[in-house]
Amino acid sequence: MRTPVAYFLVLSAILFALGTVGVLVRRNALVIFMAVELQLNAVNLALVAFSRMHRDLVGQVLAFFSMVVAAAEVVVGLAIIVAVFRLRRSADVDDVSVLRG
Amino acid sequence: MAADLVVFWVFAPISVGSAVAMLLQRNAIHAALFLVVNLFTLAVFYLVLGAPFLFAVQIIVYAGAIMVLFLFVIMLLGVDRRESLAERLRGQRALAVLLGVALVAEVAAAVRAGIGFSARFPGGFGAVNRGGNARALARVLFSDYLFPFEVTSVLLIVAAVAAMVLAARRAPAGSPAAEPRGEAAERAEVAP
Amino acid sequence: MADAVWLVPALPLAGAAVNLFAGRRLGRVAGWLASGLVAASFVLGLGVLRDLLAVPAEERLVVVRVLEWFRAGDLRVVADLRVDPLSATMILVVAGVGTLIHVYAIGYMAGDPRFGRFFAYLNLFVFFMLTLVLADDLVLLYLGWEGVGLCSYLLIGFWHERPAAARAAVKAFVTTRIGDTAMLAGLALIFLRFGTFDLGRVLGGQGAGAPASGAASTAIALLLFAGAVGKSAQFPLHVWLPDAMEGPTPVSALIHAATMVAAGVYLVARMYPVFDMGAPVPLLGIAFRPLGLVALIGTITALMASYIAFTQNDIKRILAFSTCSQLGYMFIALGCGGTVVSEDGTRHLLHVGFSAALFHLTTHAFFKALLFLGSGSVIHGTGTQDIWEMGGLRKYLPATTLTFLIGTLALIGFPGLAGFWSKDQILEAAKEYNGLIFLAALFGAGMTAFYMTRLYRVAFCGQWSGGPQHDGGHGSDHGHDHGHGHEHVPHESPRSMLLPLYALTALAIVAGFLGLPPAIARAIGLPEGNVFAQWVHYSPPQAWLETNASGEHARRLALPGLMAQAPHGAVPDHGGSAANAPSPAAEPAHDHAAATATHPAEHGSVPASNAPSAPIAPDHGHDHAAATAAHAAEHDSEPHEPTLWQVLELMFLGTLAMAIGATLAYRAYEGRRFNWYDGTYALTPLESALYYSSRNKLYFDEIYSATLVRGLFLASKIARWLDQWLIDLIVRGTGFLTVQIAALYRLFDSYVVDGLVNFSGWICGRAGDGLRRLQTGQVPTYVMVVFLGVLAVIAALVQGR
Repeated sequence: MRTPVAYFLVLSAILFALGTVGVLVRRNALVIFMAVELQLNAVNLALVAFSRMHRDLVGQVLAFFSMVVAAAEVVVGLAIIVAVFRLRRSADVDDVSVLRG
Repeated sequence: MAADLVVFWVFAPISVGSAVAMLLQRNAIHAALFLVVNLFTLAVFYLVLGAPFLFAVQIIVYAGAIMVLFLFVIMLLGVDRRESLAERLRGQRALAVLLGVALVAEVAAAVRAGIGFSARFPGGFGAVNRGGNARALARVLFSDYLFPFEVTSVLLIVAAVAAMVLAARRAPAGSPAAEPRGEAAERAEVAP
Repeated sequence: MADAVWLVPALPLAGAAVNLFAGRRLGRVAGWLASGLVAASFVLGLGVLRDLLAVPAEERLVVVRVLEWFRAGDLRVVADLRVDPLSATMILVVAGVGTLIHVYAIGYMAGDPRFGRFFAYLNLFVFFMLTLVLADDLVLLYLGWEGVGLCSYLLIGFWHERPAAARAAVKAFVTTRIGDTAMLAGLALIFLRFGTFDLGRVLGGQGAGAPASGAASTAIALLLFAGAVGKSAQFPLHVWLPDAMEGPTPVSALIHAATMVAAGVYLVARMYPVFDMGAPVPLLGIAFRPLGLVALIGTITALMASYIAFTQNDIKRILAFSTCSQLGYMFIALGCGGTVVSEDGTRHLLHVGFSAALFHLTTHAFFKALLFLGSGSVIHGTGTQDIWEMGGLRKYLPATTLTFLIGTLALIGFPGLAGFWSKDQILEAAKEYNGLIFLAALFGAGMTAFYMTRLYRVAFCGQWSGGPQHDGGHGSDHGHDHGHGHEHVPHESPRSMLLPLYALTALAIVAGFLGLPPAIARAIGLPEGNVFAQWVHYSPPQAWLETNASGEHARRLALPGLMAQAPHGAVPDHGGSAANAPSPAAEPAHDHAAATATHPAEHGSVPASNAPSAPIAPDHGHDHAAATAAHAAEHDSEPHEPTLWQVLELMFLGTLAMAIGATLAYRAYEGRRFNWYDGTYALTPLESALYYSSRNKLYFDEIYSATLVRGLFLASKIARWLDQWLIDLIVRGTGFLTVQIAALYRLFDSYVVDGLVNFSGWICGRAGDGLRRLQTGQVPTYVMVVFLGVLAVIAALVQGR
């Protein structure tokens, strides 16, 4: 394969950065959550790339587990968002600022 | 082969573009859909990188289940309203973008310092995937990573239960569903 | 027994402590307890006497260590007790007479609300007095000295509700203080000169600058004598004694007749070698040896006090001046003792004076105590102290009258009674020394007879005059109500008060025979003569004699014709161990002074060649005539004592003077009035002057008040002014400055310090305010922060590569 490893890694970094920016910028809780998912996927990409680089399956296994956990996490997170939405009638995270100092 | 280069250079911009688009969408549903596109591109990359099983899992689980779940929730909560993109703190958006750029730059620098931009993947990955990627994964998964595997299964159960508990609708006080059956029966009996 | 001698002062001290704390609860027992303890001390004194008598004369010195008191630099003061004939005699006198007076006081002070405390003070006094006479260290002696002064103050002012008593107590204390201060200076000089306060060393003439004496010894002697003048109420510090009669009569008897006033005599007697060593002082063109000055003061006092006693009307005052006068006699005797240097350079010992003084001290204690206790009995029975309000007491107070009469006779020197013998010895001493003093003493004897006879006549004879004419009576002794005197008939005292009178009477009769002149003794067949003088006498310290052979001259005022006898013979070997034996050997061996006398006394040997040993004595005091024949000493003429005729002649002269005085007074006051003047015509200026100067005690009080007292008040006013304007100014100024500085501090504190504190608080507040904004409560913000951190970490890792 002729694609250098670095390309995948930089792509992964770009996607991760985009995910982070999304977390920081967006106000909608669900969209933020989706940005988090983007981050996770970016990391999975990097893992698989490394797996290929090291000629090993460990990276793939890790990526697999990451997906599983992400699924569980999404489930719980969405349940929380639903619960919060019911309480506040809004999914705007700015409103969830009870811890404000 | 040049084929993988082509694949890369076709799908990488799509990936980035869809990600950017996801971020810029006001509508949450639109954002979710763009994310799905992104996930597809990633699946392709997995395939190229010799992880066909993950390619499948990505599409089935991530794009198929998780994003669907997302969409369900979005629609349930009715949050397809337009969301204002006004900043919360002044300069936060710019700062975030700046930080993102900084992160990319850092990673690039790290990569260059590490393996360099021109390093190619070593060959011979086929030997790793002998018997098929699934079988190879299974070999590793059920031997070296058995314990995390089992833990993960527990995790899934816990997550499911947690979701049920968290999202369960609390009935308003006074309705029959909120009280234990005995009391309701009593009240039904007492009340003439 | 000598080892237990510390009990002698300790027992009364214990009694004082008990009575002080538990006196009220003890009631009358307090009196018996106190008396018993003093009696115990007396018995111990007898034991000491026996122990001393068992030992040959030159070994009669025991120094008993009680405890080491303190050290200060080079000074080391130990509480040692010195047991020798002089101190033993004093113990017996103080404790013996003291016991009788204690018993008397049980009756006299009965009913007094502070009964217990009285006896506590009495016991305390006895303790201090015994400490004084037993002390072997001058600091300890001074302790006793001051202590008796304190007790005197406490006891004179015992009825302190009476302002007169309180004033009298203060007067006594202050007056004796003047003497005490001089004495303290004398002690300081002693330390400078001898480097120690130990009596053994001081008296032995050893120590830093000893033994060549001279000016230092004179200074010391005179300063110490000043203390004695104060304590023994001699001219010019006698003014406190009459006022001291404000105290209860037992106090007057014990302290101001028998014991405390004798402390001055004791001091001079104890420090006799220092007095003797002194160089003569020129005064008014005459070179007085220190003892000569002592005799001079004594003479003046004896005559002056008698002069004043002529016109006093208070029975206690008369007795007080009599005491003053008799003390003068004792000092005359002391002064007429010691050693003198004749023109040819030889030194002679006048051996009579010293023992005569102490003998008179002893007999005087007896009959003066008797007289005072008798006067107490009279006051108790009649309710007055004014002799003109008495009279005819023979009928109502027979026992008191008889004892008082015997006491009077003893005092004036009626032949055969104690005072006769002791006064006779004094006359002998005076005659031996100086004719003028002898004449004065003789004249004084006549005066004494006069005023005492006057007292007896007016108070006891004739008809009872009815007692106090106005209520309350004059007597200060009626601070508490004896009651009876307000009736018209006087009454006798209870037995507890009479018994001591009887005992003292017996002593006043018998005691004189201890001091028989040897000639008389031989004449009537007694083996020994002057027992007392053998017991207590003076012998100059050996070391001093050896280096002072060619010493100073003491010129004497000689009247030809009266100095019938040559001065008594040479000095060094006689005198025996007595009171002032140097006993250099006594210091190292503290238990029993073993004179390292190489030769036990036979008929003496040559002390000049026995270097440091105590002079050895023939045990026959003045019986030189036989003993000196065996001497090989370097004395010139042999000491010879008066012959029988000379003795009789002296006795005759003394008795004659007494008889003249007594007869004159007897006649003059017949019928209890002054028969020589009936008040119908004016007195001549001379008569008036004589009478009023006597009546007003020679205006001493007035003179002192106008000069010293006012001067003192003026000085204290000046001091107060200085204090107020100078010192207080400085103090207040300092205070003011301090306050101002404190105000500055306050400013500083509130603006600078508080400012800093407030500022830091403000900073914290502002910072907190600012930092608070970080807590937006919004997750994305926190994520941002985390992101920043992550970036930083990665950067670090990358850099690390």
